[in-house]
Amino acid sequence: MRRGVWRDGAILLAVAVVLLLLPKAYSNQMLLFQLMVYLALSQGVNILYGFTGYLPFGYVGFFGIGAYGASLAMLDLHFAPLLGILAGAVVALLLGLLLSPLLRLSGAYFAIASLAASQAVYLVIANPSLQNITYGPYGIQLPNQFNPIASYYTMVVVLLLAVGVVLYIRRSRFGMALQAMRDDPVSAAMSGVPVVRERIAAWLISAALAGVVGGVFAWQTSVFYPDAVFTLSISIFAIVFALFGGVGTLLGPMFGTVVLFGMYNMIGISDPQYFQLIYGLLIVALVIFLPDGVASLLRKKGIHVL
Amino acid sequence: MSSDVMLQVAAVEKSFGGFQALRGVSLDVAQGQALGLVGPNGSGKTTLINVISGIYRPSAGHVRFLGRQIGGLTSDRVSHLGINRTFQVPKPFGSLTVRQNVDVALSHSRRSRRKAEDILAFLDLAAMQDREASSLNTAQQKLLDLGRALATDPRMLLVDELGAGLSPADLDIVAAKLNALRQEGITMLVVEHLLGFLAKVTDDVIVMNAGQEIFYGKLEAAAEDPKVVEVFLGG
Ligand SMILES: Nc1ncnc2c1ncn2[C@@H]1O[C@H](COP(=O)(O)OP(=O)(O)O)[C@@H](O)[C@H]1O
Ligand SMILES: [Mg+2]
Repeated sequence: MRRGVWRDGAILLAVAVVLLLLPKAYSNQMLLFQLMVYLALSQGVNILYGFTGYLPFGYVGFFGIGAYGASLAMLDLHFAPLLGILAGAVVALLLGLLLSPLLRLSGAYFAIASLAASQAVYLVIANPSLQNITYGPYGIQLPNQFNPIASYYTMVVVLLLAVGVVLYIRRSRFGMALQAMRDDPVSAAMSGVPVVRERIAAWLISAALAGVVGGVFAWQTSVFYPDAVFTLSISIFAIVFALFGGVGTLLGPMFGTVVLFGMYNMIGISDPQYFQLIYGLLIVALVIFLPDGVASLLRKKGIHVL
Repeated sequence: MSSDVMLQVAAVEKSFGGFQALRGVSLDVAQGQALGLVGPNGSGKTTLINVISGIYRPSAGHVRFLGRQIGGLTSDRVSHLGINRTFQVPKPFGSLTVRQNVDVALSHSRRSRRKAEDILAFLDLAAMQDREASSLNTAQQKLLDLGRALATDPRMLLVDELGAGLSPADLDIVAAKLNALRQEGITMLVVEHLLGFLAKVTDDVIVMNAGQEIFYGKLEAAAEDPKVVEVFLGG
């Protein structure tokens, strides 16, 4: 146990060092920021899917509502950026709470219903008749808050937080209960695990994380349309990155994000719609043929992925 | 009804769609008793255990445990009150180790004064505690199921066909383990097809058919009861 805490600390430190040195080695800070966004979102998918088996195609809804919650808090309530981001997280958490009955649905129904819910949120926000409240289809402008350096380092902190949460879940009683529930919810309940409560807890953690990331994204970008923060491809990317590397581990989703996001940026930028399709099909293939990703191939060879 | 009744099932019904799997089942299990439950396939034995253990909500009737109404409570709460069970088809946490399977239940129990080491040793699973549960054979998984149940430190254990598929030698070993648990004071309701096994671990038996109780008494007397004979031997 003790040794595990040291090891987790070392991992966090290593991730921090890499993230802080990256901008010195690679000058496209915009791209690095996006990479961090997906590193964090894929950990959010990891928490939900990896530890509970629920595949959230509507995950982008929390990201988008977090971006809007943060932006509106800054614009209308004149919150400072960090406080605004916190407000965005709270809004995402509330949306998660509102949608928590979806967890009663099983498998594919949950995936579809969560997708529908995220689209409903998008339609409300982009609705021209609500322009007075949401700024409607023309989106958000935060000219006074623009601060690429501060928002970059805030994202570093958020990503470290996401990594810390996953490390904690992996070693905690909570995480073991989630894994047990994923294997067999009936047995887990019989073992005394409050299955519904624990599942909702994982859902809310994952929702709040996406909300925070959305808020930092809004701050970094400062100008965005509703489509930019509610596009389905954000869900698809976060899911495929997590699945490809291997959910239930820490490094799997990170590996998946670096490889597949890297690939997307090398060849996909010119025709992004193909990538949405290809990655969508890849999700199907992974769920059917390799549900635990690359990490499970290594595990078969006796290499245990953290 | 005597005062030492631990579990009371009163006129419990359970329907699935239009099909009535339990049609008004009533039974009492006394503190310290080991009651057998037999009946042909599909007579509702597992459904009854599922209702008692909170997996199904009864369609009608009452379940009381130590005087407290538990019908309709979720399984985690039933488990906290001191009822646990094994599954006819064992349900381990396949991706967790044997030890972790027991730890999940131990760490969520509000009652437990048991230790994982003791439970695994008692069930002869100590040597495989670091193996993934999915790699165990069925007999071992059944024992692990029992271990997970024991980890919650139950006052009452519902055992669903633990003997099925075991070799005669293993059957004797499992019967001895159930008897040892009973010596510790655990009350039991034991569903079993194998009457020899049942004779070793229970006092009285209930015979069910088509969702109803048709006999209560000694196992030997059941064999001479005309209704029971008809169900098991007749058309
Ligand atoms: N979840 C369910 N949905 C529909 N029918 C069920 C369900 N569970 C049990 N049954 C039906 O109820 C009857 C009793 O089943 P069960 O309790 O498993 O019998 P036993 O354990 O005595 O063999 C069977 O006809 C079975 O098909
Ligand atoms: Mg049965």
